[in-house]
Amino acid sequence: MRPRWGGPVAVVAGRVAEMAALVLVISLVSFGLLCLTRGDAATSVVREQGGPVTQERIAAERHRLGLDLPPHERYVDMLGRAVTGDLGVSVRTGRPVAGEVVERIGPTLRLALAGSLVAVLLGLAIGLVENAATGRVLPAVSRGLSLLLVSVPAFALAFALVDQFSVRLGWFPTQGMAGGLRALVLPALVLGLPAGAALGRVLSTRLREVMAEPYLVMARAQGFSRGACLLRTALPNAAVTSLVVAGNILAALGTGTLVVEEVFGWPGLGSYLISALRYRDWQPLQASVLLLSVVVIVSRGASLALAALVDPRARSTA
Amino acid sequence: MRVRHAVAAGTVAAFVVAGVAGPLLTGGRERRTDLGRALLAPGLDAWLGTDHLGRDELVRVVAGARGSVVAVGVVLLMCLLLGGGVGVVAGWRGGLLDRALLRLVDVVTSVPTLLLGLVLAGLLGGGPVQVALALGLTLWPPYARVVRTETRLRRGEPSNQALRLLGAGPARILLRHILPSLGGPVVVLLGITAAEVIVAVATLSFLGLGAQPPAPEWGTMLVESRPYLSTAPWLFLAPATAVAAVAVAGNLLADRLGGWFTHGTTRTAGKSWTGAAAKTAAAPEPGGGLRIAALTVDVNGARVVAGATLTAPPGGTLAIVGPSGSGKTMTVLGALGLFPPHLAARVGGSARVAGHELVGLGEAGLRAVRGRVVAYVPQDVGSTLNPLRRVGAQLASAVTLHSGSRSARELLALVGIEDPERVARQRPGELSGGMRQRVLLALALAGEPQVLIADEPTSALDATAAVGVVELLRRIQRRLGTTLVVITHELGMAARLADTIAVFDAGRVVESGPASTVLSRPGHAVTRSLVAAADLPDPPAAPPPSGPPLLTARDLRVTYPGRDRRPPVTALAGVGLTVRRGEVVAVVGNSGCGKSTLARALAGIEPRRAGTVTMDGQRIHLVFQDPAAALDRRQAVGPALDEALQLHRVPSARIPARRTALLERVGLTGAHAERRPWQLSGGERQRAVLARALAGEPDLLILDEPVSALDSTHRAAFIRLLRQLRGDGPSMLLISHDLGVVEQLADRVLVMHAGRIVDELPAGQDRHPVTRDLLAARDYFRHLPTADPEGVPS
Repeated sequence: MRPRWGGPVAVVAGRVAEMAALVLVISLVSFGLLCLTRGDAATSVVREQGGPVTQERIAAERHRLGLDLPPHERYVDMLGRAVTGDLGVSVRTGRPVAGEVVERIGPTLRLALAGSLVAVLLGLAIGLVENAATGRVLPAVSRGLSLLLVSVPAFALAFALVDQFSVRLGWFPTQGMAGGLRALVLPALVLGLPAGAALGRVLSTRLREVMAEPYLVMARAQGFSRGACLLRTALPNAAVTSLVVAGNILAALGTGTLVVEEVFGWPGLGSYLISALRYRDWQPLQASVLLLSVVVIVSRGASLALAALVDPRARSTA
Repeated sequence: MRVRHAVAAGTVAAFVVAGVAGPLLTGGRERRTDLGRALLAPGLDAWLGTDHLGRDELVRVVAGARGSVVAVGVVLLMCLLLGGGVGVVAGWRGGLLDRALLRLVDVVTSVPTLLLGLVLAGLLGGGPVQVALALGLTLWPPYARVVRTETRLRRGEPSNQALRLLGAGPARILLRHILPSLGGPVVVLLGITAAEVIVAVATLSFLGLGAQPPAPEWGTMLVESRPYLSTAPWLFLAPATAVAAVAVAGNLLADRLGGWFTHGTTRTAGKSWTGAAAKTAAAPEPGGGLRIAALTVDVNGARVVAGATLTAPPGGTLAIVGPSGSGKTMTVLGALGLFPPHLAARVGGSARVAGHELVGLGEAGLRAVRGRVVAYVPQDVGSTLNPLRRVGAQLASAVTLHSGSRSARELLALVGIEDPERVARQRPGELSGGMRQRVLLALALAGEPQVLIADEPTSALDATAAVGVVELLRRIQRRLGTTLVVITHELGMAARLADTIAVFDAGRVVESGPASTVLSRPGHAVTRSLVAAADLPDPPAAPPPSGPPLLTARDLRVTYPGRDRRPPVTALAGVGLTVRRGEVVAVVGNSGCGKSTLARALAGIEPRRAGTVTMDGQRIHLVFQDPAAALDRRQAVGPALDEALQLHRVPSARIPARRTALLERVGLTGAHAERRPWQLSGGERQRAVLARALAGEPDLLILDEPVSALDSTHRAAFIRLLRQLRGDGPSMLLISHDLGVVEQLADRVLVMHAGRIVDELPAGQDRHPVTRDLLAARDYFRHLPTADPEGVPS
């Protein structure tokens, strides 16, 4: 007999190690992409300083920023300093990236959590309405609405909502975080509604499949009510099989924050990334790409782990 | 095709035409500015109005389709090539390469789609082609996953393993059988991706990374419209509608096309029974029995029960017997109102349980009766218990629901489970078939019902476990005085249990009465065929073939590595056997004894085999256990036979004649050749599988549980067919759990237990305990009690 080592701790440790390796790979990929790029921060700096943009000035600036070193040296250097918490300095603002990132991660997390809440609530509502309602009208409306929501670009939805509720009715601010919870409403809706619609479509399909399972006939034959069957038997089973997809959808919210932060001028990681990208500002770009990837990887990993925890059948395939 | 699908198809067509022929249609007018005509409202000269530079909005929407069409085309192509390629290679090759490719897919999935797209587009420079490339590089992982899973699944399917045994190479299996079956899921993905791309292209433009003004593109048009949202909403609505319409249409069309491709796999063939309701006077029934009178059930407009009348007296046992599809289960589902909500079911007539009329009672009334007055245990197909909850918890909530007096532990003990504490902590997936059936009965007994209806309680069990469950049902009834109703197609079981029998055919009861009368003097043709099927005469005694050995296996061993950190499992622990030319040898044993592994090891499709198999002939073929999975479900019977004949190198001119001969040999007709597997009955399907196996003229035919999926009538007919094959046909090795079945066919019977052959029939007196169990199970179900009323083995 082979030695039995492990248990949940080893499994979790393995998963964490796997995720760490994944982050490393992504850092390498994104670094490689940056090396292939045309133009870098040196050009941006020279352009900003004014005067003639000459090759000599760019080369000098590149040397000053350390951009003329061989790529592998720069990567190792960056990695080494990242381990100690030093994420470099932003060329654009001249401030340490670590500090800037810490400032911006809070607003993004707040936005992502609110968006996830909206998404999960809407997803549950769509899934349950389409499977519990006895008439034809309500499920049809729900299906149409969810289809429409996944088919409209988030920024267009944002334009329409801002025009209606901020500009015309004045209920919510159009930009920024000032105004507390009221400022959070529209960004969270724009982030959460399309994801919730996608979630609802998945959950609804799974629920319909589960409702035809023999164990639901058995549950009803035992005398459980339709509502009890739906909520206590069908929903957990459908939710478990939807968990992995749901994890992907919610992980994609990390990307969604880019658009939402850009539309609403939300001072989070997403808008930080976009301005760094436009300036070709390497260190902040690297840092924010990696951080958003970590968010995505961790939420996917968490959903897989949750699925395995609830459903023993998911363990071997996960 | 419904209206909305036609509209969706039209939308997609218009989108593609606009994208491809756009410049011809617009003639460059999309860039022509005319400040004198700025911000005109929609009207006759500009149907969708004009923008702030006086450009015609309709022309710009049409011109804007081009970028999206190009992007969708490029991305879909990349997804198919990249995702499809990676998926097929990973799924087909498996092993280390599979794991490496899966990791790659994981990496790409973990990079947020839009993020990588954004970085790529930003770094390669903005523009429609760059955007498309970036999106294509990030959107392929779902394709790889789906294609890999499907390829892997299909590769291991009996239908493709059977093709390999017939001599088909990997290219044929991959190209003709696996790739076509991927159509459905991939088409669904394509629609979703197309919609995603349309939305993503617009979003990238918004972020300043795609097309830039003044290029007409739906995303930039949306951005440009923002300042005029209040004053000129048409500038926003036109491109927004275009994006949403194409994306919605893509999703809708994908759903529809995906359904088309997988057509037949989701559709169940509905039978409809017509005719007037039988008017049989039911006996008056006091107390706690079940009385159904002239019950009709219509499901989705098809009559599935056409006037069923039957009675189970209080405390008695009724067996409902009949061929599969005759309406036995439908009658009970109809009486108890248990059809799934999405089926439009109508029930008429009368069903009285313990004095309650159930028809027309409504959901609330039925709920009060279910479980408490009448309990129903559906046929166990492996998922009749909630897979997520532990057995104890499921029992506990049933007890709470009915305020039952027995605890979960007591219920488990009641159904003969020796270790209730342990079983209560287990989940359904950890239980054996016999245990599951007992737990189901325990759940049904939680509400202390007066009537217990069990649907095919032994169909999923091997013969030994079946005896246990039947004995349990008898005990429950004696102890609790429950009225018992058993639905079955096994007359042997009905005879053991029932004092009354009702015979179903074509949606109604064709004969009913005391069990002894119905069984000894069957009045109806269906009953007669059931009785005949249950009591096949023994084959004429023939001298066993004494020719040279055809196949000799020595010391076969198969060990599976342990999963989930469990120790390895030994499926075969040194099996040796010989089959002579012309001989029929059977291997019997209970489930889990290793007999199916033996079949695969002998056929040479078990990769973990150790030991030697020597074979005097060339060809060996295996008929797999599940006939439904043994044929490619997209291929009709005729083409399947033709393919097998081709693989056997039969000249194409002679194939039609050979095909006809094969069909005739297994008792099928030319009409069957045009049907696909799901259009055949279980018996016909098994005949088609046999015909294909015979196409390769095998020297040895291995049949793994050839009749376990068939109802008793089909089973008897198939056994007769196999008997006819003896003599001029191949040597056969039969694998079964049912001694009664193989005895009627085999010259020799080997008994298997725990990966070894432990006994041989008909030699020797000193029986292994497993052999004694198997013999007892055979006798238990074989003789109808009219001949032997109380011969219950103890």
